[in-house]
Formats: sequence, structure tokens, C-alpha cells
Amino acid sequence: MSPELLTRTGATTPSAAGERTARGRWSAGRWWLAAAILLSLVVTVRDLGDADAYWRLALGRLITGHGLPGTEPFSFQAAAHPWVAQGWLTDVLISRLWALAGAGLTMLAFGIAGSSAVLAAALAVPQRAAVPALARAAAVVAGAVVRSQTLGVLGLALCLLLLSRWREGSTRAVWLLAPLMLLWANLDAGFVIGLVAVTLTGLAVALHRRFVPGSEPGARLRPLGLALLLATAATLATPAGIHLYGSLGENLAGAGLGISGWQSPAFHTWPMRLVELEALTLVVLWTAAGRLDPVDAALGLAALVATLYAQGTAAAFTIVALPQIARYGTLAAARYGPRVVLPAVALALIAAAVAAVVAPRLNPSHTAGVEAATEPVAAAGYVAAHLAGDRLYSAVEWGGYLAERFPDGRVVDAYGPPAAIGQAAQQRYLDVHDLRADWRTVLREDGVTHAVLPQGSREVAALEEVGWHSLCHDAAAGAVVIAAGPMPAPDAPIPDATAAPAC
Amino acid sequence: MSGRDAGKAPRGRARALSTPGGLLLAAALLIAALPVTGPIRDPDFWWHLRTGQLILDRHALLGTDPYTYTAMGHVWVMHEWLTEVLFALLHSAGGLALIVVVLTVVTWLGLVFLVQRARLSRPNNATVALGLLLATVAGYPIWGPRAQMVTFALTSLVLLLVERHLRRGGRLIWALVPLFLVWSNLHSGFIIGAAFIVLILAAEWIAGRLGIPGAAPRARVRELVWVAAACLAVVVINPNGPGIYLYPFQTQGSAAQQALILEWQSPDFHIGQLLPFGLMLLSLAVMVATNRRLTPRDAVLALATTALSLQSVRHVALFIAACTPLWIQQAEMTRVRYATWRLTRPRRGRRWTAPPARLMALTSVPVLLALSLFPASRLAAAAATREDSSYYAKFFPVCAAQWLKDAPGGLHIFNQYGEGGYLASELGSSRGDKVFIFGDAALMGDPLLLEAGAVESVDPGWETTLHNSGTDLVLFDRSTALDNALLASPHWIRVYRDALSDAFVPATTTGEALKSKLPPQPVFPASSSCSEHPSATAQAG
Repeated sequence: MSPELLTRTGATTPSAAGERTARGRWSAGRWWLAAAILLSLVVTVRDLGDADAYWRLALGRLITGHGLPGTEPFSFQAAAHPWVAQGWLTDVLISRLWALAGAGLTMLAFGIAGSSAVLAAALAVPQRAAVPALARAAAVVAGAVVRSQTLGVLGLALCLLLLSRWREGSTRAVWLLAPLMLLWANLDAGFVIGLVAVTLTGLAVALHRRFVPGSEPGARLRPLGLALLLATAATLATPAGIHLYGSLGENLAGAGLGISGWQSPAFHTWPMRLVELEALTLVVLWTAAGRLDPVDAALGLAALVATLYAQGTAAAFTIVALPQIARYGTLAAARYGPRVVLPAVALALIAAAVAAVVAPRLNPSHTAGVEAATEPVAAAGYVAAHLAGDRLYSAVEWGGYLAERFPDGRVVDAYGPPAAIGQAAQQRYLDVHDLRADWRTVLREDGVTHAVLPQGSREVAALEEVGWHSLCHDAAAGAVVIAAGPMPAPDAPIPDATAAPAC
Repeated sequence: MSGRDAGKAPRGRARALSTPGGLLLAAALLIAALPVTGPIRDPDFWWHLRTGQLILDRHALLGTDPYTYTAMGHVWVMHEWLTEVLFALLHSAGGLALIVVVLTVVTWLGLVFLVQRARLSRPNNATVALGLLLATVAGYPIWGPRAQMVTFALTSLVLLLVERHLRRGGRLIWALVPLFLVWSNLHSGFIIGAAFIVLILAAEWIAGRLGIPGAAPRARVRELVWVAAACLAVVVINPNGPGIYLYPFQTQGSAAQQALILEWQSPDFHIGQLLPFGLMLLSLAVMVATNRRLTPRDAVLALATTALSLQSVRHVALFIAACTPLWIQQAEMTRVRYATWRLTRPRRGRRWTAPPARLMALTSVPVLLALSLFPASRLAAAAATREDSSYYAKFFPVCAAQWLKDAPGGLHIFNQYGEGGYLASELGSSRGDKVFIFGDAALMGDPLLLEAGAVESVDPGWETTLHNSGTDLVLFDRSTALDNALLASPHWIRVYRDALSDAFVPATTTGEALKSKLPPQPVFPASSSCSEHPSATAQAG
């Protein structure tokens, strides 16, 4: 990023005294910025509890070793399903980082990416308003997880930063949109959000000019339009080409397949309560600040609508709302509240505290413990030893891990988003998972006689009912390996899956 | 009718129909009656009705649960006893029809109250009509004949009286005291009304201290404090005494209820019926942010009800009661701003002028009469729907209950949570059958709710729960996970099937003995709502 782009070249020219004050405040703000970014590492450097991390790792290894696959490579259900490389560069990145220094380095790298998104969002604040934002910055990044969407959030934050600079008069900023989109489209499927943000910003600025002549003097629409066209064209420069959009459409169409990221948020959970609080705060500050920028309103509302529809976009809402909360919070504070000045010495204390919290998470023994507790490590070990090559029905959350453990022979069932294995395969998985009418037929047709499942799942209970029995119990992850058997007699007792020997 | 005419004599009201806005508002009020009526869909209605009948029979409240074989000893805090008694009295006087009519009118009155509250700020009638229609559509998933509508209507009334008092003063505010006395016996939702008054008082106190514009005169706020204190005192005059205060918090604090009961969950915006609520919420946010004018009491009500409605879809009704007048007020400000902006622009084309007043008035009467036919016909159809009709057979186990009437009495039936009330009402008293669970979640308790949820989800141990609870028969909706697991299991025998439900007994000696005493599978005529739909048969396999 050019230093010029990170400084104000805005149309408004404050007085010399004002400039001095601004520099002084920004200087204080820098301390807070650094402190908040450090603090945000506490939430952005997270354990690998994400369901997608492992299949992305397996895919990255596959791409590194053999190039991009033509069809879906892991599932026994989807052999003919064409593979569209969404975020292939992220997969390669994960596999490289993992090969270099294991899970710890991967977590750290993606944590830094998440924190960089917060930094970019803070820099996108158009006025000297960073201070109130930063305390909030650390809390609101709670939605970020170690997955490619973290890079997507970073892409969105950079996009908003460029748009902010464009509105302040820097036409050169928008020419960076095309390379950004080129990189983003290869890293993550969320690049579409960036294109939507650019379009919305352009429309809002045009409408603002239409209704308030003389507004937005620095923003030049023609270069933005051209840059948008270039950026859209750049997104086609991926291995998937135009098919990337079709694949995204397949993901969108699969919104009803029970994938949690596509569901409306449940505001009974604390992360979503934070998002709710953030949204309410944003509207209150919009009102209290005494003015509302139309671009902010358009982006804020679009992000809020997206979050209410699909909770997976909550991190994007956070990135949109963050600079706005800073900006309007400062304006509101100037109107109603005293100015808060806190000592920069706190930075050192925060740095020490963050190091104390984050460093243990990166320890290999800790990451291995987390892996054993969240993924069926021991159960997969049993499968490798006794059931190698057999098809496995498993919970979709573990499908990615099993794909990483057994990347050859197509032995795993469902994993990842609908576009990975196709909607038909997802539906067949759901037929069994939801115990739909044909659940036994699906298992029979797929030739599945073994399963790796959470011990408390309904599939375990239903399969035991029809004669499946537990082979071993993975107590750490709460998993069982079960196998098909003859239909029991009506008076036969129901076995206890957890009573099986340890895996 | 212009806002200035709002408080005038009937002649002025009648004259309102001679304006397009007045006609629109009258039409909107009539159209609003359309979605708030309909046959009973609330699964809790049936046990409320039966409970009211039992109270009247025994001349006393029921101390413990009479319907289940799993929660028999649980103490019953009957926070809706008066509503239940009223249901029973209405039923004996005019059957289901009268209950449907009365609850429809109650809901519609709630909408009228919020319109009246909106009109205190003297908006344009067309804006009020637009706000009313949006609110009516936004609340569509919630409307219908159900006890909760009492709380919706009374919340609207309380907010109307409070707003009127803070704007105009007067003694009418003291009507809140008897109103709270009745409300605390009708429904535990009175706590919402009380909380709203406390929030308004807090906002007024802070606004007064900080000198924020829009604060009400201190004398009126002080009087409201006394009224609120009196209200909080009289609500203890109910059969449960001060314990009634704790009941709503038990419900709100129950993790099992929040997780397992659909209407306690957050709104799912993938459901088309909830999109108008989303639209209302977002448009209100935009208008408030752009107009930047609202009173502190409106602000706290909007924030509180937004948080409530995002937490539980059933609270959308509270959002509508509290925020519709604010939405109308903000829409009116936006309209005025737009009109002002238009004045600064060069005028193009012809300007629209309203038709002559007499012509408007003459047109209004037949239009409104024609419009009133829609809600009237819907209400008539809803009122004419009988308990054992094919309509109710689509939602409640009507056919299975008829089949079980010829079975040996005293059965312990594992049932779907939402169907327990109907089964208890139909089979409980006449035959002594008991259900596993029914809709009073607080009475059932979290452990029982979680047990029922675990069986319904076929979680490990589900059969042990059924066995240990002494269940004789499972009656459950078809094509559910439990139904499909039971169909596949050699441990269970299917003994009955209709379009909605399957029934199973255990494949044990006891189960076989019970099966021999049960009536045979009925043969339903093809035209009967009990007969299996071909696609349903295929699904059930």
C-alpha cells in the first residue's frame, strides 16, 4: 500500500490549528490503533475448530502435488461432480504454512490476516476518529475464524479503505481494486461482496449528487466505473474462469441445506448478541451523530440485511460497521460526551497480556490437544488400522478432517459447502442425517457399512436400532466407530455405544 | 381526516371519509382485520380451553398438572386462569365460533390502539394507513386466535394511555391500575407492560436530567410514577400472589424453552412471512437515522423491542405494538421532508388534486362496505370451523384421537409437544388418558422438555426414556426422524396410520397385549382428511 494512500488527501482542508490538533489526536490514535490490533490477536488467533480447515489442507496438498483436480477428489458420493476451484490459493497457502511449521503457524498467519482486516477497517475511517473505534475493534473481531473467509474479510476491509480514499479525492486508489480483486478471487469466494460494495458505493455517491448538488466533490464516478469493470474482469482470471460464478450460485442455491453459515442468526448465542449490539449501536450513533453519510447508510444496511439472512456474513458486517462506529461515535461523543484520553503506556501492558494469551495457543502440544478434542483423531486411527479403504458415513463437520486423513480412495461422505460435492450429494447426506424416509436405502445404495459419528448423534441411536454395533469409542472427541450388523431380535437390548473398547 | 380533526365530534370523523387519506385509513383498518382472524392454529389453545372447563367444574384452580403422566406432581402456576375461564364460558355460550370472534376483535382493537397512539403526533392519515398495513403484514406469523393476543392488545392500550398522559395529562392514566389488575390474571405478559412503563420513566428521568429535547413535563412524569407503583402493587392480587412476578422470568430464563420451542427462537428471515418484519425494522432504522428526531421514550422502547423481537419471533407482536407509531411518525417526517424538497424543484406536469369532498364521501361508503365483506367472510369461515373438521385434522391429531376413543382408557401416550394440548383436551378427561408433554413449558420444566426433545430427535437413550416413563403408545407425526426410526426398528410395531400421524406400541409382550385390545386400523374414505395422501405414503415408505 502506497503511503500516500494512507494519508488524507481530502477535499476538506482544516485550518493550521485544526491540523495540529488532528495530528496530535491521530498521533494518540496510533498508539490506540497498535494496542487494539495487538489486542485483536487474542480473538483472531484461534484454535483450528473450523469444520473446513482440514479438507482445505488436504486439497492444498493435492493441488501442490498433482495440480488442480478436475472432479471432486474425496467423497464417494460425488465422483462425477466437477470441481470448481473456489479459493484454491488459500488451500495452497494453508498446506504450505502447515508444511513449514504445523498448525501453530497457520493459526498465527490467519490471525494476523484477521487483525489486518481490523487495521484496514480502522484506517478507512475518513476523519480523525480512530480512538473510540479501537476499543470496540478487539471485541467485534470475535466472529473471525481461521478459514479463508478471514482473507475475505481482509479483502473487504481493503476494498472499503480504497473506496474511502477515492471519496476523499484519490482517484489512483480505485486502480488498486483490479489487482485486489484478482488476488481475492483466487483466495476466497467472498470477492463478490467486494464487487457489491464498490457498486453500492458508486450508486450511493451518484444519488447523493443527484439530490444534494455539490456533494461528494472529490469522488470521480467515471474512473470508479472503469475500475469496477476492470475488477470484475480480473475476477475471471482464476483457474475456474467464468465457472467460478456458477459455483458461487450453487452455494447460494444451497442456502436451505442446513448449513449454519447460511441460516439467520440465533440471537441467543453470545457472538450473535455482540453483532446485535453492534447493529443497535450503529443505528443509535447514526442518529446521535447529527449527520448520516449515504454511502455509510447503504453499506451498513446492505451488510445488516446480509447478516440477518445469513449469519456467515456477520464478520463482513463487523468490518463495514467498525469504521462507521468509530466515525459516528466520535461525532456523537463530540456532541454529547466528554473526550476520552487514555495513556499510551497501556500499549506495553496489552502487548504483554496478548503474548501471554496467544503464545500458548501456538504450542504444538496445545494444537494437537485441540485437534484430538474437536476431530475424531483416535477414531480415524482405528479406521486406518482396521477399515482401510471402506466407505465411511460421518457427520459433515468431520468430513473435512476425514478427507485430510484419507485423501485417497474416495472413502468420505459429505464435507464443505454445497458446491464442493454438489447439492444432490448433500441431499443424500441429509437423508441419513435427518433420518428421512429413505435413510436406510441411501446407506444401502452407497454401500456404506461403517460410520464415524458423534456418540450423542441421532444417527448412532437409529443405526443401533437396526443392528449396527460400536467397534470403538474415541472418548477425547466423543466419537464412535460403528459397523453394520444383522437386524436384532425385537427383545434384544439396545447396546451402549460408549461401552465399546477405546479406539 | 387531518390530524387536527382527530379529536373532533362524530360529525368531523364522518367528514374524514370525504378525504382520500381518511378513506385510505378506514380501508386500512378494515383490511387489517383480514390477517388477524382465522381458525385456531395455536396448539396451546386446546389445553387452555380444557383447563378453563376444569376450573369451572371444580370451582377452583388446578394445583397440579392433570394431563401428563410425567409431570403429575409439578405445581401449576396458573397465570392465565382468567383467560382460560373466559374461553370456557365463551365456548359454552357459542362454541369455538364465539372464541374466534372475540379474540379477533381483541387483536384488531390492539391495532386500533396503536393507530390512536400514532395519531397523537398528528400525522397524515395516508401515512398512518401505510404504517398500519405494514405492521399488519409484519405481524402475520403471530396473529390468530390465541391467548397471547390479549397481551398484544393490552400492551398497545397501555402505551396509548401513557403517551396520551405524557402529552396531554389528565386522569385517564389511572385506568391503568384496574387494567393491570385484570391483566395479571389474564396473562403473565403484564410484566411486559410494567417493564415498558418503567423504561419510559427511566428515559424521561434521564432526559429531564440531561435536558434532552422531547422530555415530558415533570409533573406528568411524577404522576406516572405513582400510577406505576399502584399498578405494580395491584398485580399481586391474583391466585398466585407475588409469585406471579417470578413466572415470566422463569420462562425467559429457560434454556430448554428457548432452544426447543420454535416461537422462542430468533426470526428466520429465510421464511417469506418474516420479510415484512425485516423491512419494517430496517426502514425504521433508516428513517430514525435520517430524521434524527425521536423522543427518549420512543428510543428506549424501540431498542428494547428490537432486541426482544430478534431474540424470539413471538416478540414481533411487542415490536409492532411499541414501534408502529414510531414508524408512522418517522414516515411522516420523511414525507414532509420529501414534500419540502419537491417544492424546491421545478414542477413538471399536472398537479394531482383530490376529487370533490361530496363525491369522495359518496364513493367511500360503498368502497368500505365492499372491503368489510372480506374480513367478515373470513371471520365467518373461521368461526364456522368445528373442532373435528378436516381443517383442524391437518394440524392436530383429530383422526387419531377419534380412533383412540374406542381403545382401552388410561393410556400413557408419548406425543409431539405441540399436540399434547389437543390430545389432553380430547382424551384426558373423558378416558383418563395421559400425555407425555403439553404446551405449558414452565409447568413441564426444563428436564422434561429436554427429555422430550431428545426422544423427538432420536438422541441416544431415547428408547430408555420411553421405557422408563411407562409409555404405552407413541403417537407422532409422520415423516419425522422419530417416526422413521420407529418404522425401521424391530422393537416397535405400527398399529395406526392416518394422513398426519403414526401410532406405535413396543414389540414386547405388554405391547402385543395392548395391540390386541386396540381398535383396528380404520379404513378412511378417500375423500376424508384422515386418509393417507399418496405422496405421504410414498414418503413414509
